[in-house]
Formats: sequence, C-alpha cells, structure tokens
Amino acid sequence: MKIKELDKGERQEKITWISRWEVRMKLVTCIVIAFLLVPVKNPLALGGYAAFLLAILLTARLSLHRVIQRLLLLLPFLTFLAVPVLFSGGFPPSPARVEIVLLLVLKAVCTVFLLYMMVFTQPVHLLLNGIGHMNLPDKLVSVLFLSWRYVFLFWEKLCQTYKALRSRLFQGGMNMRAYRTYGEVIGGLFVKSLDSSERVYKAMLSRGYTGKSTVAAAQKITLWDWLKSIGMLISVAVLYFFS
Amino acid sequence: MHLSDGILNIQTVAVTSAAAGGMLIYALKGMKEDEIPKVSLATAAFFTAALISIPIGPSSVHPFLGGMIGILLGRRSAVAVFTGLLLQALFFQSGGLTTLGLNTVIMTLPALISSCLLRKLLLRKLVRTDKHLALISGLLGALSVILGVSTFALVLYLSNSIYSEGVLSAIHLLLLAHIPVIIFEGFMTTAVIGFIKKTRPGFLPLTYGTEQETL
Repeated sequence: MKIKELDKGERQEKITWISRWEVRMKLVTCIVIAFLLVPVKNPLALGGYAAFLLAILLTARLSLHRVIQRLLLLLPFLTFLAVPVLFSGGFPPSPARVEIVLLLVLKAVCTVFLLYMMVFTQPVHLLLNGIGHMNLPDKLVSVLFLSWRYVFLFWEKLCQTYKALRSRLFQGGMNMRAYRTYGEVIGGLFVKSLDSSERVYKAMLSRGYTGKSTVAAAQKITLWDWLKSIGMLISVAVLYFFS
Repeated sequence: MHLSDGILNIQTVAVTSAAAGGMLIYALKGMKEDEIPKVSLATAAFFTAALISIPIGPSSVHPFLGGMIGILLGRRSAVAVFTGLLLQALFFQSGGLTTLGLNTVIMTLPALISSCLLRKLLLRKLVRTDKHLALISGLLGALSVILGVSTFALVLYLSNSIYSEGVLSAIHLLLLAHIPVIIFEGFMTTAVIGFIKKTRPGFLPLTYGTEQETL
C-alpha cells in the first residue's frame, strides 16, 4: 500500500456506529482489549473472537478486501516465527506446537482488526485530535503531530530522489557503490529534515506556539459511547468465560 | 525486526511496557520547545527511511537506524523511536500494540548505548578525523543491530522456551537472518554519518571538538 493512500482511499467515509464512537473511548477500549487478549490460551475461543471482531468491522461497512490486504502485511513475519515453532520438534508437529502457533496467529489477527477499528473508521485529523485530548505529555503529542505531517513531505522527496536516481540508470543491487548511494539518500533525508526543523520552529513561533499543540475541541462523550465501550469489554468477558 | 502481537506472555508485556515508559520519561525530561521540531522531523525521516527496502541476496531489508538515531538525537532517541513505531503500528501493522513497549526497548537501548559509547570515545580523544567518526559510527550501527537482535532473542527465549528448541529454532533463524543486516547497517551508518559530517557538520551534536557538549 502506498503511503499517500493512508489519508484517502482507505478511509471510512460512511457514517456508522463505529465512526460515531468517540475517538478517545474507541482508542482506550481497543488498547485495553488488545492487552486483555494476551493471557488467553484457548485457540477455539480466540478464533471465535476474531470472527466477532471481523463481523464488527464489516458492520462499519469497511472493505473486506482492504482488511485482508492488512492481514497479508503480517504474513511474512508470522511465517518466519510459525514455521520453526511448528517443525523444529520434527514432523508431524505436536498438538502443543500447533496450539502455540494458532494462538500466535489469532492474537496477531485480532490486534490487526482492533488497529483497523482504531485507525480507519474516522479521518486521521479526528484520530489525532482525539489523541491530543488524551492527557498525554504535550511534547510527545507535538512530536506525533509534526512527525505525521512531515512523513508525507519526506516520502514525496524520497520518491523524487528515486526517480532522479533511476533516470541516471541507478539499479541498486549488492555492491559498495549502491550501498553508498543508499547511505547518501538516507543521509540527505536526515539533512533535509534537520535543515527544515529550524524554519519549522520559527514558523511555529510566529503562529503563537507555546510548547503545546493546538487541537480542536474534543468530541463530547455520550452515554452511547460508554455503552459501546462497555459492550466491547463484555465481549472480552464472554471470551474469558469460554476460554 | 518489529515483533507483532501474540508472541509475548503477559509478564514480558508488562515488564517491557514499563521499561519503555521509563525510557520515554527519561527522554522527555528537560526537553526544550526548540528541540520539538528537530526530534519530530528526525522521527519523520526515520519513519520514511524505514520504508526503503534494500535488496540483499534473494531477500530485502530495511535500515534499522538504531545507532544513527542515537548519534543524532542522544537521550531524545526514545521519543523518536516510540513515535515512529507507533505510526508504523497504527498505519502499517508493522509491530503491534502490546509489543510496542518491547519494540521501543529493542531500538532505544542500542541508540542510547551507541550515543554513550561515542561520547566516551570522543572524551578519550580516540576520534580525531571525519574518517574516524564515520568508521566508528558504522561500527556503532552494526553494534546496534547486534544489541537489538540479542534483546529480541532473549525476550523470545524468556517468553517461551519453544522458540529456542531445535537446530532450526526461531531464535537461531532470527540470529542468522540478521547477519547480512548487521553488515549492511554498518556500511549504511558509515555512509550516512560521513555524508552528514561532510555536508552539515553542525547537525552532529557529538563530534570531535565538542566533546563537552551535553545532550
């Protein structure tokens, strides 16, 4: 997936119960659930919970195709860990090893669904605004906001550099010359970033920056938001009951 | 080298999250307003650079950048690492939520050690020329991958002994797979720090002649 698409195609524009769920409540609930899933040891119950989370995502009218694409991003890492765990004790793998791998895969899948729910059910500016109202250290929030803004800028610069390199017949590969070029590209990226930082700071000061990022007013937390969060947490209690 | 969710047990998650929280508090303590743009833009650069895939044999790697962040940001490294990893987890599913603490520790620890070692070498006047600085930075870059992958392997081992069983265990494969990354990171850090030193020497807070400067 391209970095530019993060704020465009993938974003959920349809109004559903998940998009109306207050961002802070949604973030805290999803993070708590992710941590509550860590001690679960029953693959069957966890499989059921993954299906439940997928069903919830589908009620938010999110594209199943996109969700699957997100899951595929996990595949290389899970394969790298799962294959040795399954077969390092010989073939066929023991039921205990199969269970461990199933737990590993299902927990990772559940967290991807939760992350998807957190991030892609409202526009990024609402997500960042919600994070800005979570009583996190101001400096950390400022760094997060500014970094997010500049990621796109640097990515564009990187793509331009790549085009320029290709137009000069640069083909990459495994040799010192190529590595030196990669080093200079990354070095250039850092130099550009640090070069701009002073200008950015002056621009921020001229707009009245006082060390605290300005965010829009927080959404109001309603009874419905509480009910949605409590409902989701009850679903984990049910999972614990079955496992 | 980002660990996804589902691998760690609850004790490991708790300990590593607390350790990452401590590192973050240490990094934020005393951070001045004018440092915010520098750290933010370095974070954006770190996030973007980590998206570059570089071919090595039949596979490809992305730069680890632990040593480089340590050399550039010193004690503020944890803020850049945590923010970068949070953005990667949220938008690219690289890493996870419950493993964010461990992933932060895996990258921040080598960054802090690299920064500390470089400062010690500078104080002992062992770094005297641009070439020395680039070469030592390269060694620190390689060392940062060794430290990161060793921490990763240790946590996997402590989390469940099944990851270390057999000749082709997950830990053995992890260590083997990172050998080219160690070499690559060494060359890469040498090239990057050499380039920054040549073009904007003022951006390197730790360099010969400024040993007394504290971060």
